[in-house]
Amino acid sequence: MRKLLVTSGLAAIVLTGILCRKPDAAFPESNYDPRLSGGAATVFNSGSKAFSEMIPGMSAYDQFVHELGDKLFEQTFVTAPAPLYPGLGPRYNNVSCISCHHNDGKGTPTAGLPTSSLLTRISIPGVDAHGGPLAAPGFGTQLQDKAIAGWTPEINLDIAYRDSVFTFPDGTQTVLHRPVYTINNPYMALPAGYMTSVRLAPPVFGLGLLDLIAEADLLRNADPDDADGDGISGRPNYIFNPFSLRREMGRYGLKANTSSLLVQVASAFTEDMGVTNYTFRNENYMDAPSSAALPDIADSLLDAVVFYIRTLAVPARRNVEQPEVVRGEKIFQQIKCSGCHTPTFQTGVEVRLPTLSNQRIHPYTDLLLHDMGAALADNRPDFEANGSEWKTPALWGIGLFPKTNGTPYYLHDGRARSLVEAILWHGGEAQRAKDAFVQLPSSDRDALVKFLESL
Amino acid sequence: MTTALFSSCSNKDKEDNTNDLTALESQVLSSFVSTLATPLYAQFREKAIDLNQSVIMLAADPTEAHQTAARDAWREVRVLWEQSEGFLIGPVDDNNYDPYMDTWPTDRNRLDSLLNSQAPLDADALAGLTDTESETELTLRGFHPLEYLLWKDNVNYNDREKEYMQGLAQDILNNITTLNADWSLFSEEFINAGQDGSRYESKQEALIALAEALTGICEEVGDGKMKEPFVGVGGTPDSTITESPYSHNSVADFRNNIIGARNVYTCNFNGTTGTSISDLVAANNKTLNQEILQKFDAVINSFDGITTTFEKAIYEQPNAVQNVLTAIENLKTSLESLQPYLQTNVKD
Repeated sequence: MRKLLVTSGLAAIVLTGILCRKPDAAFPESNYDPRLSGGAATVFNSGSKAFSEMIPGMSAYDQFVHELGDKLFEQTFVTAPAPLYPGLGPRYNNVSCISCHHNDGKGTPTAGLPTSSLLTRISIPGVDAHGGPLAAPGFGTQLQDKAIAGWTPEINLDIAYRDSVFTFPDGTQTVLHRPVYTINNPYMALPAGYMTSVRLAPPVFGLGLLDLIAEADLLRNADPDDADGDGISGRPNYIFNPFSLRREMGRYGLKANTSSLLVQVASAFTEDMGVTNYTFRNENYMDAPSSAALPDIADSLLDAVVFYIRTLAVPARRNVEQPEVVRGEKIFQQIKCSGCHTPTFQTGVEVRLPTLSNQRIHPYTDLLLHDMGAALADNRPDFEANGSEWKTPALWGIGLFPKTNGTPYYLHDGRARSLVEAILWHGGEAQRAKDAFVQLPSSDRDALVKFLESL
Repeated sequence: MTTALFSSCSNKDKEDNTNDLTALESQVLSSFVSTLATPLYAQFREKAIDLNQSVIMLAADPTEAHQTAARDAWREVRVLWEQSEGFLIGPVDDNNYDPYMDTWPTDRNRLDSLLNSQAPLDADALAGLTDTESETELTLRGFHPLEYLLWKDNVNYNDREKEYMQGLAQDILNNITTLNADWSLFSEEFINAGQDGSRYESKQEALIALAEALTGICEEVGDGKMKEPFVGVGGTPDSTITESPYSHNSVADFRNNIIGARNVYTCNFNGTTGTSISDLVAANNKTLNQEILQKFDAVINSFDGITTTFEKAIYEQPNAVQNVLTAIENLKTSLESLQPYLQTNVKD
C-alpha cells in the first residue's frame, strides 16, 4: 500500500511537471541571440567564404564526408575517358558545381562562359505523366549551351538589358535593368509554343536546416485563396519525385520543383554537367540510350556532395544592435515583407546532426509559391507553380553577397544589382509591400536596406 | 618610431595580453600590400613576360635548349603563383583568375581534338575575345595545358602545337596583367578597411580574411592536392591526379604554397620585411606566435624528407609524405587560433 502511495505520488508530480511545462512562453524572444540565423548551425564568418563553412559539432567521420563532398563540389570534370573525374557532357552548362555556385553562393548572370551561372529551362504546353513540365522534343527540359568536341551545344543564349528609370516620390532615381533573352543557333528546330525560364544558380548553404522544417509548419502559412485578405496567398508546390516515385511537397529550386536534396544535387550533375549518377542514370540529351553502364560518378561520392550541401552552415548576422538595423527590422515587419519572407521556424529532430536538430532558425522564407507579378514572370509552369509564381527565396546571408560574389546579383535571374532594385522588381502578391517601401521616407528605406545587409 | 618603441615598451610593463594594437593593425594591412602582395604580383608579371618570350623562342626555333629554357621559365612563374596562393583574397578569387590560370586536371581528349581541329588558338580566341561564344573551356587554358606541351618528350612540335603554346603563354600573361590592375584597386580597399568605400567594414574583418586565407591554403594542400593522390580514390595511391603531373613539379608547388603562407604571416618577400600578423600576435600572445612560426618551419623542412618526385613518393616514400601531411595538419590547428585572437584583440 505504502509502495502504491509513493508510486502514485511520484506519478502525480511527474504529471504536474508535464502539464505545467510551457516550452515557448518560458523563454522570451529577447533572450535569443539575434545573430544566430541558423541556431547552433551558425558560424561567425563574414568574409568571402562565409557560405563555405561546415556546421559545428560534427563527428570526425562526418567532417571527412563533408570535406570529400567539398572537393567534389569544386572539382572540374573532363571528357571521358580520363583517369579521374571523367563524364563531362556530351552536352552541359558548366564543368563543376563551383563554377556556377561561386563560393557556395550565387553566381554571375551570364551564359555560356566558363564563369557563367545562368541556365535555361524549356518545355512545351501541357504536362507530362506526373504533372510536370512537358519536355521539348529534342531538347528535354533544360537547354545545355556547351558541348564536348564532336557535339553541338543545344543553343546559345544571348542576353541584352534594357534600362528604365524608377523615380521615388522624393525624387531619388534608380535604374532598373530588364533582361531580354534571345535563343540563337538551336541545333535543331525549336518546337512550336516552347516556353523558357532563365535561372541563376542560388546559394547552397543552410539547406540542411530548411530540409528539417516540418511540412505542417510550412503549410500553416499557406493561404491559397487568400482567406485573410492580405493580398498574399502562398501555395505549396506538389511535385513528382523521380527517385522515390512519389508526389511530394517541393522546397528546393527557384519554383520549389524539387523535394529532396538528393534529387536536387543529382539532377544538377546530369542536367548541368552531363555527369550520370545512381539517381539519373541516363545522359541528359533526348533519346539518350538507356544506360546499363556504371554511372560517371560513384554512388558514395554523389552522397558525399549531398551531405556537403546538407551540412553547410549559415553565417551569423552582423550589426544587430545598430539602431538603424533594429529600426529596419521593424519596418520589414510593418510593411509586410515578412508576409512571405517568414522570419522564424523551428527545425525538426535529426539525431545524427545535433546542430541542425530542433533549432530556432531565421531563414526569411516560407518556401511557398507566390505570384510575383508580370515583370518577374517566366510564363512557364513548373508542376503546380504557374508562370508568374516563384518560391520565396531565403534572405539569410543576403547581406554577404558582395563578399562571396565580388559583384552581387539578386533575384531569380540576377537582374537586380542592388537590394533596392530587387525590392522594386517585386509585384503581384508583393505589390502592397513594394508600394509601401516606395512611399517610405528615404531614411526609412535606408534603414530597411541596412537591416537586409545585416542578414 | 621612437614613440612607437617607447609605447610598446611601456605597454609590456603593464599586465599581459592587453596591449592596444590600434597602430599596429594599420601597419600590418599597409605593409602586407606594399611589402608583399604588390611586389609579388609585379614580379609574377615579370616572370610571365619571360615565359612568354621563351615560348615564342621555342616555337620559332624548337631546340632542346629552348625547350629547357621554356620549362625553367614555366617553373619560375609557378613559384610566384604558388606563393601568391598563400593569400587568395580579392580579385584573384572574386574575378576567377585562379580557375582561368590553374584549372586541373587537363582535359586530354579535348586538348587533342582542339589541336586536331581548325579552331583559332591565339590568346584572344582562347579568352573568347574574338567570339564570346567560343571562349575556350578552363581545362584547356592556363598553366597545365602549357605544361603538357612543354614537357613533350621531344621537340618535334607541329604548327598547331606551336600556335597553341604561344596562345596559352600570352593568355597567362594577359590574365596576370589584368590581375595586377585589379589588385591595385582592391589593395586600396584593403588598406582602408573600416572606411567608406572599402568592402571591409573593419580592420578586424580584413585581418581575419588574411587569417582565413592561411588556413585555406593549408586545407587545399593538406586535404586536397597532396592527400587525394596519396590516399587515392579506392585507398591506393594514384599518381595520375597530382597537380603538375607532366613536369613533376608537384613537391615544389606544395612547398611554395606553404612558403607563400609563411610570407603572409611574417610579411616577408624577397628579403624585405614589414610589420606582420606575426607582430600583431606576438604583441599579446607570444606563445601562439612562436608556435605558429615553428610549425611553419616544420612543414617547410618536412618536404626535405621527400627525395623523389611526388608521383613516385606516394608509392615509395609514404612515411615522408605522411610526415608532411601531419605537419600541415599541426600548422592548420595552430592557425585556427588566429581568428579568435583577432576577434578578441582587434577592436576596430
